[in-house]
Amino acid sequence: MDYAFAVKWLKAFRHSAEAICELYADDFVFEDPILDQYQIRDKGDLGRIFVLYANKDRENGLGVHNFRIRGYEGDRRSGLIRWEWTPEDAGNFIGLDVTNKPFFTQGHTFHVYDEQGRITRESSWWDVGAILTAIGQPGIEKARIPAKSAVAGAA
Amino acid sequence: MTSIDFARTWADTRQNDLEAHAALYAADERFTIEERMVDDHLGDTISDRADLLAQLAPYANKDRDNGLGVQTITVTEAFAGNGHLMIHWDWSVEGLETFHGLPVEGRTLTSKGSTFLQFDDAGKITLESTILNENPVFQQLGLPIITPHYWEEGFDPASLTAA
Repeated sequence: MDYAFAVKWLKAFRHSAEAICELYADDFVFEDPILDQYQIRDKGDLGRIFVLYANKDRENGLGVHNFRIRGYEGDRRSGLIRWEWTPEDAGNFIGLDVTNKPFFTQGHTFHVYDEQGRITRESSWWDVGAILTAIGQPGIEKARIPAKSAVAGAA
Repeated sequence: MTSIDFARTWADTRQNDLEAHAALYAADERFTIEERMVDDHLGDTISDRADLLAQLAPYANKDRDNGLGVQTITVTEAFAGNGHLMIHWDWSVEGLETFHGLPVEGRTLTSKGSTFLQFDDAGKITLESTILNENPVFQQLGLPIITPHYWEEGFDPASLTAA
């Protein structure tokens, strides 16, 4: 769509599950493989996914989810939103203790839109390794595959 | 060439012929490749051929004994747009010594990934955004990462903070 829609989409995250669901067509497919969310096609399921992101209670450990847009690449029918995500005041994140451990990551979301501008297809992905690095998970290094002399110059 | 055919060419050349792979991209300084969070464009954003060949070398490694691992990327879906292409792919690696510092200990690691490509008028790639789903890999290496299906009816949100 465009940068303005991306901001509208992320503001809806913070507002309510109902607000975000209104941005999707009745016939849609939502996927966030990082959270094992595949082929979500039901608005009820979609709403329950987004309840987490609309949490406003900084004491319940679920976190307040501050997303920011890095950019939009595409046109009005499809494209990629690149974003940053800072879960604030979270106590546990994907099973890991993150209490008092500030972290953020970056991700991307591919959207396909119908003629009314509603989302018909979503594919969202984000960098988990960056989070494990930031929270100091024991044994974790930033580099996915370390440089080796066996391949000259390999990262 | 259809979108899925281009996606397969992109994946095949990344694994087997990095010079041919580099030819799919626009001129130096006219393209960017990012495949992780950007802390610093120096190191995290590839924008010329020398950096492409160096940083993407592990994808094309075929030596099962040097610890870099032999990767396989298999395209599963491609979504074409106006001047761009989103690709979903399956990923595996054998013979890898460490993953983000964790010892792999002979395991074959598997997951899925996504790549968005944007093209110029000549059909050359100007932007690549790639993300590998690392959660299953960390789970395969024993980290206590959970991905509960909290969207399913009856799930108790309190269990997210109980661990």
